[in-house]
Amino acid sequence: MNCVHGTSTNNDGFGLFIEISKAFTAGDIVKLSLEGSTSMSSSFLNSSFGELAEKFGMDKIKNQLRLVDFKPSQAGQIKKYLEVIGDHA
Amino acid sequence: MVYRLLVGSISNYDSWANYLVNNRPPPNFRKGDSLLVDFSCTWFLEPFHLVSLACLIEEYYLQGARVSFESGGFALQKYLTNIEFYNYWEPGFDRHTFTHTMINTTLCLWKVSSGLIDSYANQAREYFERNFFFGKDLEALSITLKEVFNNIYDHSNSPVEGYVLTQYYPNKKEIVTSICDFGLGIPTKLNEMWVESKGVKLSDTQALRAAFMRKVSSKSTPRNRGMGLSYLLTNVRVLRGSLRVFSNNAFLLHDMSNELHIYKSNQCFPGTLININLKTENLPQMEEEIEDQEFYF
Repeated sequence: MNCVHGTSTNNDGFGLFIEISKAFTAGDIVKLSLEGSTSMSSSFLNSSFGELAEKFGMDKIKNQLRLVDFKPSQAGQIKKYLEVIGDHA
Repeated sequence: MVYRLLVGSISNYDSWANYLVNNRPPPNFRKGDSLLVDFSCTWFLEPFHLVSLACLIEEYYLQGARVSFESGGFALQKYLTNIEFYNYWEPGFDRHTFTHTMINTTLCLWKVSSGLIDSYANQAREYFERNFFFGKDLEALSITLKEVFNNIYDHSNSPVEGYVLTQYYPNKKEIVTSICDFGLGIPTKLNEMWVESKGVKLSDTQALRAAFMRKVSSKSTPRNRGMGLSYLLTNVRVLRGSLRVFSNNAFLLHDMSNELHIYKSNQCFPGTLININLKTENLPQMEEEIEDQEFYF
């Protein structure tokens, strides 16, 4: 499912948060493909992964979220972001 | 009535802010008055001049001015034509799409629009990757653009939104991006939150310094976590570039020595002016996507 049209704005990020939230709530494992995606802004990260961490916690993200078709720098950026906001999650 | 805006090449940021402040629409400006932007005394303008001048013209335009131009030297006239500077205030010009450039080292002047943040940032990256830096990764350019656009859109409360211009200087091996808005300014916006939550007001220099720290946020949007400006700085540092931010009475300079300097400026800038200089010789190689593995957090 293509659930995100961009990786720049809060709205882009919130769309991703909504879709992953549904899957997390249902107990599903989410494989998030970053194929062809571009740099992620902090607004996008805040409204997607930041919201996920706040709503579900890091354990849920570790247990139910995988990245596929990713560049190492993208995975590193998201991981670092989650570490930085960790004490707020 | 005709208002004449005589443009000069002022290199000092304080003096340029003084020029902008002194030339904003006067209280007696009326809808239907004319603005004549006069380039006859100038030969060279940098991106930071042009984006802030565009904001100034936009202020007149929003108050109903008819905008016209008096040309400067041939080279400047050609440059301004090629980046479509003259077109922005013409009736019927579409200001809300990505405009293709007629000069290969410069992207057109662009008015920041929330719906086009993604496409502008990505097209800017693709343009330079395709035309100048094949095999190199310009994510640093697109992410800096995204951060500053979001900063304008989420926080500035700028009636004229903002303007951006990106110029490549092959001889200097630099990509320079200038972005300007005539909004509240970063220190003023941050102080709104600071006063409310901590009961004290920071000086403009203290506020600008704080805005570049991680997790310091004006809370303009509910999910804001105070990461944007620190991300911007990180990307500039990765390419060993430089960053200048002039907002209200504070001026921030991050230079190639990797140090952050913040000064009190003599002139209050009416919004925020950002100048980002990325060194192209430090661009990394483009990465391949990993298709046969999963990444676990």
